[in-house]
Amino acid sequence: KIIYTHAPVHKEGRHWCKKGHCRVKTEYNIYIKRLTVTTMTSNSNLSTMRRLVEQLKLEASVERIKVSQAATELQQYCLQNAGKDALLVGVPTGSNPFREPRSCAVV
Amino acid sequence: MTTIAMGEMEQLRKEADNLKDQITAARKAMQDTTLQEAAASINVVGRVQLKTRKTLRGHLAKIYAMHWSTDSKLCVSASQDGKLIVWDSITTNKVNAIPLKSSWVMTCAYAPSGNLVACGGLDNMCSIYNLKGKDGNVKVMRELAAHTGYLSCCRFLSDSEIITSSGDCTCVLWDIETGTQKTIFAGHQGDCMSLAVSPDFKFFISGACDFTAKLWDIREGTCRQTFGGHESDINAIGFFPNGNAVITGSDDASCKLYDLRADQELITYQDSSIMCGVTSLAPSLSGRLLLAGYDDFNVNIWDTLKAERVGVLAGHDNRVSCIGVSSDGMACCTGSWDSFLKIWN
Repeated sequence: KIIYTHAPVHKEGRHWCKKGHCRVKTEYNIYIKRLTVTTMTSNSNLSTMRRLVEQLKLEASVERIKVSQAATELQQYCLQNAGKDALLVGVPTGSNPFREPRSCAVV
Repeated sequence: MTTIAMGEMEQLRKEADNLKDQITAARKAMQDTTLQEAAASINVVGRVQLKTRKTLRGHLAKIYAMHWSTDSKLCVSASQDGKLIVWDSITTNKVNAIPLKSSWVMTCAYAPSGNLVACGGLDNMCSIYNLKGKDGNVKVMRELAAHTGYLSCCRFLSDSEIITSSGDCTCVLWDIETGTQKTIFAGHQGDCMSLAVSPDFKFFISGACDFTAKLWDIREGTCRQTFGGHESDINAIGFFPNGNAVITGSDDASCKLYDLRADQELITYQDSSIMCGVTSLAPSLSGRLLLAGYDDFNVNIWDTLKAERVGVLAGHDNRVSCIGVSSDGMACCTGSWDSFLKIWN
C-alpha cells in the first residue's frame, strides 16, 4: 500500500502537489511516495502500537443496531422529507427564488 | 529493540489482529439484511433534470471550494486567483471580494452566524475573516497556524470554534478568539482531505488518504468509529441529513454510505462506466438524492436508497471541484476549475 503525503522536504523546484491542484514553488508540499512498511526499531513504535490497541478496544465496544433497523430509518427519513426536497420534487416557477417570474412588469 | 520489547510488540500485534477480527465479526452479526433488500419495494426516483438557474462569474482561475451560508442565499467561494468571493446567489452580485495573502487556497467555509468566513490551503493556515467589521472593510481576524501540512478543509462550529483537516494527517478544533488548538484529532495514517460536522454539532467525520473515514467525538476528543472499504483516497465526505449515516466519495470512482449505528457500509454508488475519482459530494435535503462531482467534469445524481444514477449535471468545461446544497434544499451550487459557479434546481 502506497501512501501519498506532503511532507516538508528541503528541495527547490516546481512540482505538482498530490491532488493536481497547483504547481508550488516552495520547498514544502512536494509530491512524494512513501511505503507504509517501516521496520520497528524503537520504543516509540511500541507506544504507537499500545495506542492502536486501545483505540481498537474502543471501536470494538461500540453498540450496534441491526442493518434492517438502520435501513428502515434511513428510508423513513427520506420519505418523510421528500415533499420538502426541492431538488427531488421540483419547485413551482412562481416560488423558485432563482427564477425570474414569467410576467412582465408594466413600466 | 530489547527481547522483552519485541515480545510485547508481538503480543500487541496479535491483540490488534484479534480486535480487528472482533469488529469484523460484530459488524457481520448485524447484517440481517442489506439496504438494497430493505428498499426493494420502493421505486427508483424518476429522472432528475436540474437546470442552471444562475452562473456566478468573476473568478479568474480555478475554483477549489464553495460553501453556502445558512441563509440559503449567500455563499462563499475560493479560487486560485487568490480571492474569496461572497456571492448573493439570487442576484449574482458579489457582496465581498476578499484578497488573500496566499493564492494556494484549497478550502473555504461560512460561519453559521453569517459573520465570518474562513479559508486555507498550501500555507498550512486557516485564516478567519470578519465580514461584519465596524468600518465595513473585511479584514483577517485570526490566522490559525500550527498544522504542518496543507489545510484541506475547515468548518465552523460557531463564531468561536472551527475544525480543520490537514495534509499532516490530523484534524484540529481551534479556539478562534485565542488562536490556539483546543483539541488535536490524530489517528489517520494519511492526509486528511475532507471533514463534515454532524447536524447536532457533537461529532464530525473526516475522510483521508488512508482510504478510511473516521467519526470523532468533538468534546471527548476521541475517534469513535473507523470505516474502511474504499480502495483509494477519500476526497469528499458528508453527513446524511439525519446525522445517522455518512457518505464518502473516493478516487476509486465510488461513493459509499456508512450507517453510524450499524457501524458499517450499507451501500456503494458506482457504475462500470465511471472510471474517474469523486471530488465532491452533497446530499439533497431529504437525503434521497446524492449529488457527486467527478474528475470527468460531470455531477452524477444518485438515488441513495436504490444506488441507481438518476441524473447528470453537465455544464462545466472542467473538473467540478466543489458542490453544496443550500440548507433549505432549494438549490445546489457547483464550482469548477473552469472558474464558474453554477446554481441548479
